[in-house]
Amino acid sequence: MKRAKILVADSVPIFRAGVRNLLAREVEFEVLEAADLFELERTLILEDPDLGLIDLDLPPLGGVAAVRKLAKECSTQMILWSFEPERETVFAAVRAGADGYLHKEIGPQGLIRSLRGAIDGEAPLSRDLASMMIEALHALEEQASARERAAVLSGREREVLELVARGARNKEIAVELFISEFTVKRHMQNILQKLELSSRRAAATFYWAAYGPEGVAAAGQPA
Amino acid sequence: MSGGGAQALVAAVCKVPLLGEALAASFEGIAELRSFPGELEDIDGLLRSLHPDAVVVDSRSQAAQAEPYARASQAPLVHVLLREQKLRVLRNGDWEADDSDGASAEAIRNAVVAGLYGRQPV
Repeated sequence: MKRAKILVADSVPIFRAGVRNLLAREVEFEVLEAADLFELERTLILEDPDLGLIDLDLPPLGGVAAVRKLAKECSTQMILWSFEPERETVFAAVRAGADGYLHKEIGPQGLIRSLRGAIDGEAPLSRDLASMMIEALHALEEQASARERAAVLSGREREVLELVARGARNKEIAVELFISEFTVKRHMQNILQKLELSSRRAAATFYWAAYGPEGVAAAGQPA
Repeated sequence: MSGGGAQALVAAVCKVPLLGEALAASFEGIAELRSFPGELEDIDGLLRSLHPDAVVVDSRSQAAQAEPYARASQAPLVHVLLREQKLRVLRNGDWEADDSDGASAEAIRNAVVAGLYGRQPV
């Protein structure tokens, strides 16, 4: 019987020990260990493990960056794990190429089940993390739709909208953009009309849905 | 120790069950380790009925729940701060930081053993 090689990449010794001790009782697994990205890369090359269980905080760049770097270069399935992951983190991990995501609070039997499932081609993702993924996908769809709507705005109108969303008053926007307060008001009317919104507050909400804290520039739309 | 000459009994009440797995090997031949899920509602009741010689926990709330038993029975209580990779130990009625060797299984075992020997009458 060929044993599945599981590589635990975690800088925290106690997690490596926990997985090592747990899987030592299971004949179908062989455990390899890595404490950082360097050791992870080296073990991937030398041992070609079937599955990597990678800590979100793996030094030096973190687990998501590690997966992004390595997922394309090897056939090893990569599963990230961490304490209380946030929606964005799980989504970023999967987008980076992770095949699944697990809680570090997972029980021994749960971990064994997940690893067996992963070896059989399943994507290990607990129910709450699966819900998070769906929420993240919906949020992404909403964002794409909002950005599409925002495409009707001129660059100047987007600048005004961004400042409105960040809580600036007309007078402050006028100073910031070197235009008159009257012009700001006119831009604001155009924004509400084009986006079919009823209020300044609705425009601010729309902005956050479309661009989030990163802003217009990060979205690649001309300001 | 409990049972007059028998191995010491250590209760590990862990929100992270893998901590119990990690500790099992390091306590082998030294103490009997029993792991319990951290979600237990009545940790104090569990400890009073089990009467362990030492307690290991991995969250602040469990540490608070285990503290009355540890104080009453003078059992060493080791709180593992997994994220910070540190230990704090309730010894002689006071919480002390123990960062001699991070929060490895061996460091936890050593803190427990030091606590157990520390409470023996000389």
